[in-house]
Amino acid sequence: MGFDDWILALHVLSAFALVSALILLWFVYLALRANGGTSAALGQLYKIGVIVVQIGVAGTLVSGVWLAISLDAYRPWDGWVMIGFALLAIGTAAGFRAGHVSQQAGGSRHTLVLHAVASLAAVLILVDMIWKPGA
Amino acid sequence: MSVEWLLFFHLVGAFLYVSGAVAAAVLRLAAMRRERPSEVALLLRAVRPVVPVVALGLLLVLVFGFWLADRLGIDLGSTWLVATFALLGWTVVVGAVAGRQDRHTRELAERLAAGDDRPSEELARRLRDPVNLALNGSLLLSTIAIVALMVWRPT
Repeated sequence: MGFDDWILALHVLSAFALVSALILLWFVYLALRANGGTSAALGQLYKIGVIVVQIGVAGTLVSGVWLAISLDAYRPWDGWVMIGFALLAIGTAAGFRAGHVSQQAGGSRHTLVLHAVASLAAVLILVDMIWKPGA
Repeated sequence: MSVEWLLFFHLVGAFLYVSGAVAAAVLRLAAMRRERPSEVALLLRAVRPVVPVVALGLLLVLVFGFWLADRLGIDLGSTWLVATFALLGWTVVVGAVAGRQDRHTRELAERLAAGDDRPSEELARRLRDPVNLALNGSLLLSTIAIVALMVWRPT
């Protein structure tokens, strides 16, 4: 396996970490809502989820930029790569806003909407990565 | 159906399956670190909706995985695929056994929470049961190994 193959593996593993954390946070937010918005146990899980999201976003972004530069077939300014960056930015912003709102009293509905936006961005990134529009 | 659609549904299934398994493991481990029955019950209750997510993921992975392998002419007897099937089988069987044990633990936690909600030795013993922990640990490791096999595809 060449170095780029390892970076691709890191890219895919980071994506799995990111989606795993998104799914975990879904259960945390839904349990928080069912529990009335407070729980020390869920607060601890929330922190774990946020850390893994950060690792996943950093991993996919850094390895993605590396691959776009290193592989001859792609360029960082290709349309589908730029769309991927934009969707990652939108998803990250919505996800962190959801985390912020979840800490406020009575914000569970708003949290779920924002987290749904972040999750939708993840699905659209997958679509973008498979079909590579404009490539 | 185009190869892109097959790959899309296969990957959606893989993300659901792996994410659900990881979420269940994290919730189970988090429950082990709590003492109050109400908190243990809350975390173990959160595992319940994970089960259909994992099941749907597994279904999508298998259906669209076989379809994709057929379309791309991938040998189903390849070492990495045979190892993946064995690990998937292991996760299904062990998941059913460990899930049943965890359900009994959750029911105990809920009974205790409905009472005085004080820490219980029996609950702590069940949460730290070495056999159950080994089964849950093997589930998590198998899931990680499946992802590694899919990514690296060793021959």
